[in-house]
Amino acid sequence: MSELLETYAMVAGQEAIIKLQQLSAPMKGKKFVHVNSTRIGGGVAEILMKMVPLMNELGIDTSWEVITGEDKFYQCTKSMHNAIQGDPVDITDDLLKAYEETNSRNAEELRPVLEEADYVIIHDPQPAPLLSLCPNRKGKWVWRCHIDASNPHTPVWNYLSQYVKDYDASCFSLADYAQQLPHTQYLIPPSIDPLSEKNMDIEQSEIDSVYDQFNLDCNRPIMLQVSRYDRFKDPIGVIEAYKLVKTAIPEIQLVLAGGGATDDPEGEEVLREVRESAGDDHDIHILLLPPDAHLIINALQRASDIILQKSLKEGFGLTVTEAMWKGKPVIGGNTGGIRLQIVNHHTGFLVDTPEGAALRIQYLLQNPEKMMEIGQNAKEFVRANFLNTRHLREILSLFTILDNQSRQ
Amino acid sequence: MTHKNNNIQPLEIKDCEILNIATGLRARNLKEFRDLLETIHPDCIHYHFWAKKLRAEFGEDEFNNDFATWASINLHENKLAERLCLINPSMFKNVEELRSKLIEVVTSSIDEDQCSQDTKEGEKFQFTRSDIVLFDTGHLISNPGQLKELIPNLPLGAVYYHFIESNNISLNIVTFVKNAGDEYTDLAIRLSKLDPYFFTLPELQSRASQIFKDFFQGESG
Repeated sequence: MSELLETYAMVAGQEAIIKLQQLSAPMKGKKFVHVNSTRIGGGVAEILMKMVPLMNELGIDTSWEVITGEDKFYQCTKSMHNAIQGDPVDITDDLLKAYEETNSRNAEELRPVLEEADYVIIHDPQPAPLLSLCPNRKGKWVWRCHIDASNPHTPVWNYLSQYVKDYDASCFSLADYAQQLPHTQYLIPPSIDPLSEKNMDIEQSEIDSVYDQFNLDCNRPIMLQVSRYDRFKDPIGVIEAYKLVKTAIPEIQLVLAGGGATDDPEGEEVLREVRESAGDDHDIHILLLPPDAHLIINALQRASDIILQKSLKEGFGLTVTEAMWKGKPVIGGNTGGIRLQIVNHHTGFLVDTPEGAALRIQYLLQNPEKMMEIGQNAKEFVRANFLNTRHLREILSLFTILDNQSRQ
Repeated sequence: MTHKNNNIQPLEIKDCEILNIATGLRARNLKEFRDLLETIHPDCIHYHFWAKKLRAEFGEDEFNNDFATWASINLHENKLAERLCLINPSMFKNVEELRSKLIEVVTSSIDEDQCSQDTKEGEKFQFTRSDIVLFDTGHLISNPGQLKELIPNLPLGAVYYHFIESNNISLNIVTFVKNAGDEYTDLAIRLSKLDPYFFTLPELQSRASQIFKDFFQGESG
């Protein structure tokens, strides 16, 4: 077993690695391509950053391609993202034209790789038209939807589904998100990489360094939300919850740590609203971190007492998984994939309002033993369910099933 | 007098991975649930009784099938949840009989309580089914004695496959022991009494291991 696989075995268990080796054996030497729209920032990029080397380590010839576009393309895909998550936004023909042209242009470049591949996963709506632009494809193609598609805005979904319907299968994080499509819709939750900078064990000195760096008082409780400045993540709701807690526990500090992904043009506007809501409260720390600030996020999560992810809509919520992996109690919005991770009262708390969040924060701060117990439960739950070794096992199973179906 | 069956088909030990599939069929309340039960694919019924064995869940779950869990947690219908829990799929000849029993229990609950409260968004019952991938473990068993050492060390996927998923086919461990010859009749009887429905996979593995250990210790003594 290689050093990398040995290291994963130490964290995820020997059996998990043996299964991966068994499943990948028939795929050795085959070409596997992942395609998405950003190499940095956002959950998909983080998953691929570690999964691709792991797949190569198992002998599968795996590459990761990224489609690129101009402003109009990203405006279109951001609106599409919001519409799939239920926002009733209509997308102008002009923006849709940019979407189609961008995909056509990218297809020109990627066609040789994609048509030769034995297995292709197209992640999210941005590159979805690529399948229709690769008529001589020989492999199996799966569309992977990472976002909450439970109640998509119908005109936008109808537009997107014309591209998605021809895939061999699609893949969603939760059953709730499955749509009417003419192929099998598999359910595979995403995952975190326990060995990445964002999740690996770090020295206490690195944890301590963020107190100085961000002017935080290590002797007072810290609540943290890590996420993009996005309305669906409800940063304003987090500030409301903080203000409610502050009346009972004046020493509380709040850290909102976000960054921008290259495919998210809406972030600055939300950031302005967040700053306005925070006013001149010096215990609210609004951080704008670069996309590669993984070690800082890791340290911030470990330095915090309670972690929030008070999303109103959430595809899965990998920041919840990350926080749980660090043994922290998480208070999460009662939505999407957060519900899959937080077992209420056992691995954290699910809330629907800022008031609900404020109540749970106060409860936990009053009960340090409970905080520890919930945190430990959370870590073990992630180990069993949400590490990338489990994720990859399910992806390999999916393509094994598709291969077997072809042979029948 | 014992009779050794030398023509027994070797048992190839497989591990398995279950991949969940969304059907897109969802029930918001008991009436919708009952109506969908009448038409859903038989694999969905099998899935909601058995697949949770392979799901790593937190803590103890008081309900041993997904239908009962939904009735209790999302509909707050605890009487119904208890009745659904009592339906043991091992006791039914086939999925259609099991389906009829489910419909009967749900219908009687609807008639009794007139309950058809909608669940909140996101709490609907999601009918799911699964595909299974089998892979070789490299173990080929030619007599039950070999299982004594192997069962405690099997991955849980293999325990699931050979005790549950392979029910009534030649890859089932109990069937293999039954077919192994008269000298293993007592072992087969003891294993048959082990009802997988009531155990988690680690519990099932541990109990089966003990049965093999006891049987072969007794035999050597």
